[in-house]
Amino acid sequence: MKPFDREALERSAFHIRSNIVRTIASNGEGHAGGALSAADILAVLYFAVMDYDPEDPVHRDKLLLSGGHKCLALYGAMVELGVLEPELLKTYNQLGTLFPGHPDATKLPCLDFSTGSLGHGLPLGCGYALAARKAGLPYRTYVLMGDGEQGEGTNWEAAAFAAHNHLDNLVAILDENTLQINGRTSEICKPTSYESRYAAFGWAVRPVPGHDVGALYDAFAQIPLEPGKPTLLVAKTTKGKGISFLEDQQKYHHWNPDAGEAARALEELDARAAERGW
Amino acid sequence: MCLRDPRKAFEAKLLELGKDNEAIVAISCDSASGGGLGAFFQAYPNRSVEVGISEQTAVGISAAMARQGFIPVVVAIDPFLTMRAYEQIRDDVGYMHTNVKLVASGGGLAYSTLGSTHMALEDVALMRTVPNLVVLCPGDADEVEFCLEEAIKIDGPVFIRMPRQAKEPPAKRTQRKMELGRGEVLVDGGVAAALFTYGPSTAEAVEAAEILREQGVSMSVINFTTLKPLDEELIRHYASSAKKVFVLEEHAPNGGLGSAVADVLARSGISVPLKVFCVPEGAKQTGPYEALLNYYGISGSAVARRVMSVLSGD
Repeated sequence: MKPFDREALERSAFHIRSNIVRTIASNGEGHAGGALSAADILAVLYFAVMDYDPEDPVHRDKLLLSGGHKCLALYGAMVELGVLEPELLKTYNQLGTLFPGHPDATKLPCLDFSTGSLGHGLPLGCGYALAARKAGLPYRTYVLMGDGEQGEGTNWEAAAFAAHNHLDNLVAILDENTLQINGRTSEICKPTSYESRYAAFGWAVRPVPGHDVGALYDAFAQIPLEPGKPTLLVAKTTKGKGISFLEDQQKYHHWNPDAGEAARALEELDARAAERGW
Repeated sequence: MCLRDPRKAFEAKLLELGKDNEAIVAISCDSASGGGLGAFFQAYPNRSVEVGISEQTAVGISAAMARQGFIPVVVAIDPFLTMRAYEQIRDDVGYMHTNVKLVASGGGLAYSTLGSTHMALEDVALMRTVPNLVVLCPGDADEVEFCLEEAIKIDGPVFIRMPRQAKEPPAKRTQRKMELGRGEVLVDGGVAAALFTYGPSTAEAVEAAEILREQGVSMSVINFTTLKPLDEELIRHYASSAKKVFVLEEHAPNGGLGSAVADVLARSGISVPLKVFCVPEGAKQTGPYEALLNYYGISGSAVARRVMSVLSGD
């Protein structure tokens, strides 16, 4: 891990958000809510935690964006990292773009795997973690999941597999923004907390404030939380975080901004940048 | 001739291939013993993974391991692999072009007594739609060995529909010309009537041709162990001259070889009567394997009878 630098991480998270919002504002649509709730997590992972080399897919730490619809956060992070040219974001959703609405690793080798259909990330994460152990490689595998996504049964197959096989090189982050397309996760299907469920499956679990880069950094620094167990960080987040009128709103899972909304969002970004000197 | 169990042949061949290729890992869905992974698990425990009854996760794990340079061979009972895990196969193996070998144990009517949940009569249709996937359907122990060897050589995703019943090979291994992506002419009965088939039906087709020959009727039998990519040239060669074309398969009518041949004929502008002998859609009769083949009219003797009936209708 790199030394903790709050200012730098918050700036990176802001730039990821800025990339998300500006891309949607200029292209007319995109999955805003979840991308914005995951921005701080991705900033801390890519800029402080992960040993990431875009040129070395075998040895680098892995990241599976299980909720592939949050890809604008991932693209934003890649641009902020300098791996991809910012100009490319203008091609988002255009014919032939490298940036489709869900990430395609066959088009962007800097990513680890194509995702989009929910519930694929954790099984893939198990495979990468297992491969590291079999090959004697020290990389870690991070899987960023959503909370609505926990309805997919494959998560629970993989949760059992990871714990049974003591994959303590596997780290899942559950971006718990409490909203899914049709409403609150608590109203749709959430009989118990995710913490208790994963703990019951044999994971080491810790809740963490998901927009506090310091708290996220500290949690990642302590992984594995328990040797011999896979780790789950339940990141308490706000959907649409960073743009006031998008925050915690069900309807902005996918955002089609009109000119007024787009202008208002960009004004907020500019004000924030001016305030922090970014 | 002593019949060889295809699953035992698979087990021995995988063990042999694993000796020289340390990238091969065996992925079991509670299928290590019944699915022919037992010997590999015993010999190479560090390259063996028991996922349990979680086929979707097994495919996901395999896809990720393949990205790290391993060659996962994942075995599960056919419908649970091809149907339950279809989306993982499509997304994580097909579109991602990962070097995963999918082995579906007991295709077609193999689990003849166990009911419709365990029969795989739509699997070929599904697997033919997966991008980049090579689809292999061996019918006997020799073909199983051939398919596994070829699958490991290919740097990409391969599906093998594993037979369960031991069938009489149509000829000695040394006399057969198996080639990836090419049809195999097993009975050269000229071009008057041609029967296309694959998998365990091949033995039935050869038997049918023999019965017909004794009755003075010639019929060619062509075995398509590789269903994708399909040897369309060979299909066109026979279909363009034949008076009748037949397809025999342990599969539902939609999406199997019958559909594939119809596609080829239509695209090629070849006008020839096509009759497909298969299992009707939604059929769920159970019973001993051979009895079931007879019930559906896809055993050797039944096929001979049906072919004769079609030909005599001219």
